[in-house]
Amino acid sequence: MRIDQFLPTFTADDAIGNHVLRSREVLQQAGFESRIWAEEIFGHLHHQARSYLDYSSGADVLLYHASTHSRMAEFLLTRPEPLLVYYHNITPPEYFARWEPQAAMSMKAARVELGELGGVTQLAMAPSHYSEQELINVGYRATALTPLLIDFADYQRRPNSRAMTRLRKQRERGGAHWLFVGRLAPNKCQHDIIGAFAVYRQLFDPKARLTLIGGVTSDLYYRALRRLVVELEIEGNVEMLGSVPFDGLLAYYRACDVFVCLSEHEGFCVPIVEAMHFGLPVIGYSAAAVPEAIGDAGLLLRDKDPLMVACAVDRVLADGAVRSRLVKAGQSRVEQLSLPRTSRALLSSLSPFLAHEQAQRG
Amino acid sequence: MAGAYQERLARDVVEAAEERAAEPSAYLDRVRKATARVASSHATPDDARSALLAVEDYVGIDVDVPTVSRWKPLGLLKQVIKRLTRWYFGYVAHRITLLGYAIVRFGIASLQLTDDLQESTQALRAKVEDLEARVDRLEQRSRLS
Repeated sequence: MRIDQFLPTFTADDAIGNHVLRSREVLQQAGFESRIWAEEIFGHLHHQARSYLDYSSGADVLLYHASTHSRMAEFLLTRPEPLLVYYHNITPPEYFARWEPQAAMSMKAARVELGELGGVTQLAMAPSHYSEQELINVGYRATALTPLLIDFADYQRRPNSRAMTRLRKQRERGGAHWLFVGRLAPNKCQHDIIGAFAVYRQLFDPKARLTLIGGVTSDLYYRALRRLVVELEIEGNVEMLGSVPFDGLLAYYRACDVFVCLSEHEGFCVPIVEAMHFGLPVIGYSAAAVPEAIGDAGLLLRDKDPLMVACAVDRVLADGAVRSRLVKAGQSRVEQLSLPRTSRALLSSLSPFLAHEQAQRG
Repeated sequence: MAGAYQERLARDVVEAAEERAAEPSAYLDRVRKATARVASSHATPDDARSALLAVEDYVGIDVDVPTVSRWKPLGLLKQVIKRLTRWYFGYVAHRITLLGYAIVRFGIASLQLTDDLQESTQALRAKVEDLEARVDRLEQRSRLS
């Protein structure tokens, strides 16, 4: 049996791209054939996938990764093969209406497409109950919680040595180093992190530093963040690096002291688990799927007033016992999401559907 | 999802923040106001102040055009065009930006004026209602006497 995966954008070092590659490995190891088709293919992935426009037939089942507006959804609606959906979540358009009205329109269209696909989808999977509930709300009948596939072995690679040296020197000068990894986007609320960080510096640690890593989704929002940093007089202490190469990212995970996520909308949030893998204590705002990603392994806040967040970071970093307890819990959380476990979960989500399909084929 | 330890820890943090909040801090107020301005993503369509902020967001015309291209010669061509036209577009963008900021300033001043008018109207209305009540009372008294 052949199960082909379809996704709008196939990018390297991206949670969805990695999940698709890992899913193909899992399916192939389980004895299925599997190919990848995408609308846009970036980086070195051209030999891993082909344009979906070249697909005519051959697969027995199609698995679509829904995350954004794509003409591919319309194409899949016309296909005769049974369809499965993995829902990575779509950002609510309200977050982008002010900054990128066109992107907001595209998000609206993506949600309409998701609803339309519900009518023809046999099984829809999602990495969190939060996303699964959204699927149920728009009419999906068969759903399954299926974790993202993350290969933590990838993180054993050598971090960028120049970045490590620079970060070590910074560390010697003292001060806590905050980190957040995620695209610079209004739903991820980097402005709240900057605000909380400014208060933390003022009250607890004047030498503290903040690093925000992630590509720019909205240029206007990025400019507003730059203005905010200047207005709060913390220019020398905040760096917004944009996208960084994977080895550079590893250096930051290894060198920072705390991971702070004040995002209001996440379908799961892989960087939270990555931070836990590197032994960083995690502080998060309790919204969307963030509590599910954190589990019982981080400090969850119901209020993200800058003073509250600053006090939370101080509590975690100043109290060694609290810190080590959170780090230890983080390691257990990572174990729960280890690749062998999540691979088994993927196959177990698919097995009732595949058994039914195989029985029908005789 | 959160365990008992997490709940206790979160409560400790709330208490610590409440203690700190008792001390007035001008900087904290400044931070709250500044972040709230960036956060106004859920503004309603009739919120005039947010609409003005949106205009302000778009006012700065960015002439730093991206020149990266997957095809190297095209990237070089873009860089050449950018260098040749920078002085011209830079000047035009600067003029438009100045006009934009002037419009925003005008909008803010108009809003302030409207707010002041609304306030004085409300105060006048309260005074008129007060006077009407007094007249009613006086009329009743004169009828009784």
